[in-house]
Formats: sequence, C-alpha cells, structure tokens
Amino acid sequence: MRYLFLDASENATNCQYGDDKSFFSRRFDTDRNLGACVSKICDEMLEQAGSSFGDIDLLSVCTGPGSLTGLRIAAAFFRTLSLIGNKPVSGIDIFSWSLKTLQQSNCSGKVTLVLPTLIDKAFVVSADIEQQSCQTPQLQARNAVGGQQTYAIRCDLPGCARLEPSPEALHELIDSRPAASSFDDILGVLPMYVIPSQAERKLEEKS
Amino acid sequence: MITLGIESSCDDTSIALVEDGTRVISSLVSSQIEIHRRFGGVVPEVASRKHLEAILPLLRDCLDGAGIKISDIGQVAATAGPGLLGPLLVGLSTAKALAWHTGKPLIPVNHIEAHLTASFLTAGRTPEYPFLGLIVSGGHSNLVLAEGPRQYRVLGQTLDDAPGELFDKVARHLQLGYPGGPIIQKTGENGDHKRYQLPRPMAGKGYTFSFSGLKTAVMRIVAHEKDNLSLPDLCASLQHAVSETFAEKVSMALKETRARRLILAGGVAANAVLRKDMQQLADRYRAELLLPSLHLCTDNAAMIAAHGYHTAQLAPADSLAVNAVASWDMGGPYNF
Repeated sequence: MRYLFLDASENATNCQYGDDKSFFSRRFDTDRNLGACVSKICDEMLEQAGSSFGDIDLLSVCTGPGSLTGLRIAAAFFRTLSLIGNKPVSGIDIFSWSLKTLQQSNCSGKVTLVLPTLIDKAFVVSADIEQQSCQTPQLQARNAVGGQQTYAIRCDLPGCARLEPSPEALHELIDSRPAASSFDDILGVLPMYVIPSQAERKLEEKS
Repeated sequence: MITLGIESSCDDTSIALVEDGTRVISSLVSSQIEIHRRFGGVVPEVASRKHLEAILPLLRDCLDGAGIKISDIGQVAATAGPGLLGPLLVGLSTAKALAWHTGKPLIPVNHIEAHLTASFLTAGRTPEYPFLGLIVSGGHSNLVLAEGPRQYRVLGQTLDDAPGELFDKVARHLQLGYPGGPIIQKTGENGDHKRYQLPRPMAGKGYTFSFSGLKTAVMRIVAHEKDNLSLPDLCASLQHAVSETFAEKVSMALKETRARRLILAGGVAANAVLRKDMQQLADRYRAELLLPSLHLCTDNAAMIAAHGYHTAQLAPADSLAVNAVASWDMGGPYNF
C-alpha cells in the first residue's frame, strides 16, 4: 500500500511516503507559509518516491494538536484530493503517534503525554501503551505537569522526558489505521483538538 | 468554458460554476451568520473551522446539482484576498487541490475586484471599460475608476469604518441584532429621514470617506432622545446620511472622470435607499448604472468565478504558489 502523509502541526511541515517495502520522511521548512507550497511539497515527495498521485493508495493527514492554520490547510488539501481523486484518507493524531513510538521503543505501562499549546496551557493525556489507548485530552496549566512516565512531545518541559514521534511508528500506524473512503467519513477527517478562541471563552464565561 | 469559483474570505462559504464568465450555472452559499450572531461579529477562528466543515458538502452539491463533473471544469478561481487569513486559506487550499489534481489552471482572485464584476455578471455581460465603481461593504468603502482588467485608479477610500461596519455597530448599540445593514433598512422602511439631523461626513473634502463620526452622532441622538427616540426615523435618517455622502462623491467623480458607466457593488449595495439614489444620479449624468442582483451583492463564488474568467490571462503561470493575503490592493501584484 502506497501512502502520502502530511503533518502541518508545527511551523515546519513533516511529510512521509511509504509502501509495503520502505518509507522515507522529509521535513520542509515551510515556516507558516504552507498555504503557498502545499502542492509543491506533494510534487517533491512523489518525485523522490518515483511515483505519481495516481499510484497512491492512501492519503493521511495529521489531525493535531498543533498549529490550527497549518492543520486546516493540510486537511483542506488532502480531504479535497480524497474526494475528487477517489483515494481514502486517514487522520493521525499526535497522541496516538506518540504512543505507538513508545511501544516500538519497548516502553510499557501507563503514561502521561503532554503537548504544550501557544497559550500557557498544555494538552495532557493519560494513555496505556499496551492497550494503545488514550483518554480524552485535558487542557491544563503547563507548570502543573510532570512526574514519572510523563513525556513532553517534541519539546523540553521540566519534569518530563522528551519524546519525538518517530517515522517508523507513523508507518506502522498508517498501515493499521482504518481510512475514510465514504463521503461522510471523509468529512470526519478534521483537526481534532481545538482550543476555544478568546471570543468563545468570553461567551462561555458570560453564560 | 466552465469556471469553478470558491469564496471563503469572511463568514460565507460559497462554490459556484459560471460559464464563459457571464452565465451562472450554479451558485451555492453556506452562511455562518447564525453562528456569529451570538458574538456580535465574525470570529475568525470559528469562521475558519466552519469553512472547513462546509466546503466539501457545498462542492459536491454544486457539482451534482448542476450535473457537472470535475473533468468538465476548465479552470478554478478562488479568492486569495483580501479577507480573514484563516478562512481564505481553507478556500484557497481546496482550490489548489482541485487545480493540482486536474491539471487545470488556478486563478487567484482579488475579492474586492470581483464585487465589481458581479454587476456585469448580473447583466450577463463581459466587463466594459472604463467605469466608475463604488464598492460598499462591511470592510470596504472604495471609489475607483476601472480602466481595464485589474487596472484601477483609486479615487477615494474610507479613513475609518466602512458603511457595513457602521450599520453593524449602530445596530449593536441599538440592540437591533446582527448583521446591521438589513435590520436598519427594515426598521427605517417607514421612517422619516428628515427627523434627525445627521452630518454628511467629509462633504466637500474630495473623495475621502469617514463614517466613525456618523456613528458617534447616532449615539449622541440615542443618549439625548432617550424614551422619545424613534427607531424607524433614526434608521431612515442614518441611511440617507450614508447614501447622500456617497452621492456627493460619486457625483463629483462622474463629472471629473466623465465615466459613462457606474457600478455599485458590495454587501451594502443591497441597500434600497442607496440603490435608488445611485439610479437618480446616473440618470442625471446620463450614465448607465449596473447593479448586482441582491444575491450577488453579498459574498459569493459566482463573482469570483466570473472575475477569474475575465482576468485569467493576467494570472501568474505558477499560481499554485500564490498565497492568501489579508490585505491586497485592487490591481496589486499577486502574493507569493
């Protein structure tokens, strides 16, 4: 199965192409300019793979958490390609990806995953490596996290071990995750972890 | 040739199919007004989310409803600015996916320029130059002389609020609801427009507009009149003050430029008082007035498709690399 994956949750954009035999990853320094170069990134990935869009069996896109603008550009682009190109599309969230990374690193037991946001808070998730299951993420104060078996994803936080979600884990996850091919399922591939805007927070406080 | 248009610059998601830039095959709009009403204005983050949710169902419905296949599309036109960046990026990224997959050209479109094309589209005509254009909306108040495709001489703009913004702010102050324009028109329908004396801002001062003082003047009347305030009279007076402010500048421009064609465009172009005053002005100067149909006044993808069709020759070859931009002057260079 040949797939193309796009992760625009950070300032840089992570891409991965894989098939049954191998895979490769590339990091593009898009620096918040993904809107201008999303198609070029796909061209370069397919060229490096010696492949074309028609050869792809599956599209996969990161659903966050992370830069909402980046996530939306990637989702808009891949969901549209999925619809008009008749390719299934899957959403990969960073917590599942991180949990798979820990499993591949022979870690075990229950862990806490932490992903900071731009505000002074972090998404915090309790997860089980053997079960590969995550509870619903909670937004907590950044300085209230830390402790044993606590991992900070892609960043350094006091009291937490740093964790980089790996390309190997992503490859395995994409292979095992069901993909959306019906119209209604494609619509469900959206950025998952949305921080309420200031206006929404104000409205909630009022009510 | 069929152009597929995509519009997502603010709170309306829209997809349209237009043939040869002059005939609307299908035009669908998904409005977020109800969602933003409770905030009293558009929240960009919320708008971006809703665009992403709405755009694919609209695309499917537009194509299926018209019996058109993606392979029938000759080119894709999408708003690249000006507007809210998050919403713009959703529409432009969708358009890029369509263009990239089909190999068809992508035409980035300036949303404000497209509003002027809406009047020609309503008449089923190709834009004819020169013409005088007055664009009045929630974010814009521009008086321009269009000399050719994407060639504009800006005669005047607002220093502060746009007329739609003024109506929104006044409606909010009077607790009439959102959006302000239609509510103020309806409330003032049978009002006496001579009851309240409101200023005609920047009268006799060239082509520059300013509406924030008008808002302050309305608030003063509200505070002064208290229980005696007549909302119908106040709304009628306000609309006439706005319309006469525009009429004075447009009259001067028609005289100076000798333009024989006048285009009214933008969301506030739906205002009945303004439409009537502009018609009288055009008649006085023996100019032709082109008005957009009411459903083409507000943001829509049909005008984007039509403008994309008429400006396709000017679009850059590597248009897939064009990015969305929050601020983009009419006729200005594409943003890479």
